[in-house]
Amino acid sequence: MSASAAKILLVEDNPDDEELTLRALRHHQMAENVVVARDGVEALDILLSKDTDVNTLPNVVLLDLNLPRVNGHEVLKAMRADERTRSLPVVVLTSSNEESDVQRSYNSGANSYIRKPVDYRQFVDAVETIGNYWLRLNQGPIH
Amino acid sequence: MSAVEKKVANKPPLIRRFYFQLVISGAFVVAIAILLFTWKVGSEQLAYALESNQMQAQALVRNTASVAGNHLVTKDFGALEELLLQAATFPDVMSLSIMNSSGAIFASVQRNNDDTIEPVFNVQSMVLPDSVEEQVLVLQNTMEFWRPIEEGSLGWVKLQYSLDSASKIQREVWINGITTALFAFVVSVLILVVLLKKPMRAIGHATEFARGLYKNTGKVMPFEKSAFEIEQLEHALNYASHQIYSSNKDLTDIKLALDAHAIVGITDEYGKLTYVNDKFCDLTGYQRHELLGNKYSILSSGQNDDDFYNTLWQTISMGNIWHGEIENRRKNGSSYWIETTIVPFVNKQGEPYQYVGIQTDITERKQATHELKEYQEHLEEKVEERTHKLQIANSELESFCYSVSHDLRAPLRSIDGFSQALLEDYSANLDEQACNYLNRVCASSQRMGELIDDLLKLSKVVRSDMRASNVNLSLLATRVFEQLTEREPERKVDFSCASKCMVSGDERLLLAMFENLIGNAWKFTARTENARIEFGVEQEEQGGVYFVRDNGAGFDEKYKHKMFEPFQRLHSNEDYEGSGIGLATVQRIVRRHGGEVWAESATNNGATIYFTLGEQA
Repeated sequence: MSASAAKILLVEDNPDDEELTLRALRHHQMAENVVVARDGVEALDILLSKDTDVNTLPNVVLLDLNLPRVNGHEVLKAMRADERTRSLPVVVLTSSNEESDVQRSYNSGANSYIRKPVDYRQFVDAVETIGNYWLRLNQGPIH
Repeated sequence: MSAVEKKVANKPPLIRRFYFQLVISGAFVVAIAILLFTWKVGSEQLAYALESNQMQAQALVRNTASVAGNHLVTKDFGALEELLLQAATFPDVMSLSIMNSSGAIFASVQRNNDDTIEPVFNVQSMVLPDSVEEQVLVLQNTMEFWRPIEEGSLGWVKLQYSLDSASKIQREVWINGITTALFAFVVSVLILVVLLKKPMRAIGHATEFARGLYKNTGKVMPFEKSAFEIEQLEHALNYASHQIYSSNKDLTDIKLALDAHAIVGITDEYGKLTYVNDKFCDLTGYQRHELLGNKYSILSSGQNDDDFYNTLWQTISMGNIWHGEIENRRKNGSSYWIETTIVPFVNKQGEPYQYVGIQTDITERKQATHELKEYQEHLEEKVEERTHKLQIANSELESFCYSVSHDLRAPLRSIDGFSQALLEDYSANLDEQACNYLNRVCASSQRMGELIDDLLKLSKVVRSDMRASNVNLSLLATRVFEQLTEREPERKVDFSCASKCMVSGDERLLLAMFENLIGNAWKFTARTENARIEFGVEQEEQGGVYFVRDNGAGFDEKYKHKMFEPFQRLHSNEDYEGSGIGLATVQRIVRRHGGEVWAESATNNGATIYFTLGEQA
């Protein structure tokens, strides 16, 4: 799978963060196949709808925790409960660095936990690292 | 009062009668003895007198017979008469006669009542004895002697001899004896009266004294002089009196002490009160006469069930001591609590005849216990309530902090991010001033991000649970120092550390504390030559005062009271960076360990932060 074909699902309710994340991804030419969900319900619709199959699933989910309606933890739990998304890589990308959030995320099956830095330069670096790792270096699960 | 007591108390002393009897009987015995002696002597004297009279009379009659024989042969009757007159001069001779062999009287003399002797002419003849033997006939007051002359061939001599003298002797003996006996009786009475007077008085006193022993006054009876006979009795009585008094005094003293301390009530075997002390009356509110004779159950509160009283009665009626707490009721109806010990007193058959109850008023204690219990229950509620409120507050704080960390950072990221975006994408359209401003916006938002993070750390210190374990402070300090050295390997800082400072505490919090303390020391020695950081301990025996000392910039002592307030900074940000949250965090960590923290310094002379950690492991 080529990098350009690789798909990202960004679950982010804050439009600023969405824009900044997309900008950072664009900066590294990874923004073409980004799908944005603005809350947990939308994210689950995309991931767990009836016509979803392994071929339409993204390569990685960037998941914010603090979301309207259904929060990130619940999204993660629902994903891990479904056969299709059980092994889908999920990177939690959030403002929180609460221990409880970190622990809960890993317990629910998150593959990575990254705190969004306030410093945009650091944020861009972080997004680049995520993209490079999960879309280029990482070998995803075989379907 | 028992019959014995009545006898002792009411009967008059018998000692006078006894005294009288003793004297009279003593004197009587003496008199009897004398009379017995008199009787014996009298009898002996009489026998002796009779014997000597008989012998005298016999000699007289024999001589007269012998001489009269000669006169008869010669038929000299004048001489015969003369002989008789002469012979009759013997006292006690009443009459003397000479008869022929046929009994006809030749001559006869007799004594008259006036004691003169004269011949008697009597023609009548006498009846002679049958045999020719000498005859002695004892008659009343007289003896008759018959003597044959020449074997009766010439005739007989008859002598009538008076026994008056012998009787007189006997009579005199008796008169003397009785007189002596009477005299002896009187003298004996007098002597006994005198001799027995003192002993009897002493016995009288002793009796009186013994009669008074039951009153138990502890008196000692005075010794009667010259009454050695009863000295032992006196000794014995005095000893008994002393013993009774002292043992009774012991009992009285103990009773006094008991009454002074305890509430004492005594009942008979049926539970009727027979004695109550003042305290008993005071406590129950009853007068003594209202209680005595009544059953103890008059005080029953009804709060204890039948089983309770059954057990109690069973215990004490078996002769066993019962101990326990009882709720009773006063006269006015209010209840009181006593701790009581009931001691049964048993008779020889082992059956209780009275019960002595020794009690202590524990009403106040009971009330206090009750109040304390209520208070405790209430306290638990309070604590629960507070805990609940605290939990609510904590969870609110938790969600607040979560919001802060999450929601406040997002706008900052936007500010910084879009400022960066402007700088990157539109720098061509911006002059230098605009770029400078945008850079400042970025720097400020980043700094605010750090502030938020520090604030979160501080609140975490307060919120997080303490996980106590044995912590090696020396190791933590060294680890923090090593981390700093790794981060800035170009700095040369001399570090000295006290070894093996072990405390009980939360390792994570204590690590955060050292990160702040040694981090500060590291920061403020940045411009010091020969920088030195020291971790040490003083006054180890009192639990330990720990310190982190540096030779860096120090601070102005004037502001040291502000040092531990959050966001309080004593150095400009240009000189030394920082949020001003570090020492506030340290203070919270130290306080959570029950310790205190304080600082000492002079500007440019280094700083020392001291801290204690409360109870040490």
